[in-house]
Amino acid sequence: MDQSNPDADLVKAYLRGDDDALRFLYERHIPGVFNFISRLAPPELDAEDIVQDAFIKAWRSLNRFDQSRSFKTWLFTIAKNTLLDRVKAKKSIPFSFLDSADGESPSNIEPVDGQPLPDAALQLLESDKAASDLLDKLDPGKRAVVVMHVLEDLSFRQIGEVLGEPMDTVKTRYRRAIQALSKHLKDMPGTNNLG
Amino acid sequence: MNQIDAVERKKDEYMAESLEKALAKIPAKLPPPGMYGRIRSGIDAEIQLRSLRRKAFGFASGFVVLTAVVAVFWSVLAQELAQSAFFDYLKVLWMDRDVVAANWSSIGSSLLESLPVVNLMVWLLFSFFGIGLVWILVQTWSKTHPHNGSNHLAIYT
Repeated sequence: MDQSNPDADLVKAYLRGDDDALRFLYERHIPGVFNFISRLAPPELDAEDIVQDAFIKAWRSLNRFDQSRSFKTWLFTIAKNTLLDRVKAKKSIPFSFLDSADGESPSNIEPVDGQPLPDAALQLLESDKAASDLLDKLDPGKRAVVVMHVLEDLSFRQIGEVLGEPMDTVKTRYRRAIQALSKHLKDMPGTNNLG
Repeated sequence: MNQIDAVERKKDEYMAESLEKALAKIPAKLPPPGMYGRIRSGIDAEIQLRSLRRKAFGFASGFVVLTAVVAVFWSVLAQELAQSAFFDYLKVLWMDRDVVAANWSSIGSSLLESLPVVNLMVWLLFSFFGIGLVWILVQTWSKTHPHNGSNHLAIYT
């Protein structure tokens, strides 16, 4: 087995008829995709349904998967597209919900207020709910980048592939996300007298 | 100015790092138990649906071919029937019942002997195959589309 790309080996094995390979492959990635979708899907949509749909779509295209690519990136792309299809079908949600609310050009980035986050403010994030709630305050476009980079360990290049955007755009969006999070954190109750 | 920019960049980096560390500790939203099983059910349902569609296509193609064969044999059969004495004997059956009643045995045998038996048997055989295929097609269709119109192979179960 090629240690450098176990996913590609599992895909090959499944295509050769090894059913267990599909189980191993999918069980490696279900938690990550579920985390991604459940953090992005609007409450009106069923995240489990979307995840199931995404994995089935991936299965349909498995014989066309370019094994030189990252399987994780490919899978996340399918998951993102599946989510967007569901959002599009649900007319009450704006289709552009994965676009960031503000412009992405570097000139639009607001200057940092110059104050590092106090450790006490960061300690508020030690509560899982507080940290999760903070992340939810981001618009879906920025949240997607943060979830993929911080929680799911994708590189900016991979995130660019998933979102179909240039890497620089992704980096800019990430910086804006961090700024927005910092601002939200300072606005959280309990941080008023800090920093 | 460059020094100030450098300090600002450092502060940016510190802020980003601090937040990243904090966010990285957010526990992942975990899928429910049995998520793979649910996905696998969907895949198996799709495999079954594809198999049924292939069978349906095969049976439909077979039905079309058989229909063509039956039509060809029917035209041959009709021609042979017209050339045989079969219809003449049938006329006798309707027109002269007293004669038929008196000689029903020999008239019956003559009627049967006038039939183009081989082609008739072949035609009947292909017709039965055709009916059988239609029946299998209906069965296959009903498995994928029960009476209430829903697809019980729906993968989202």
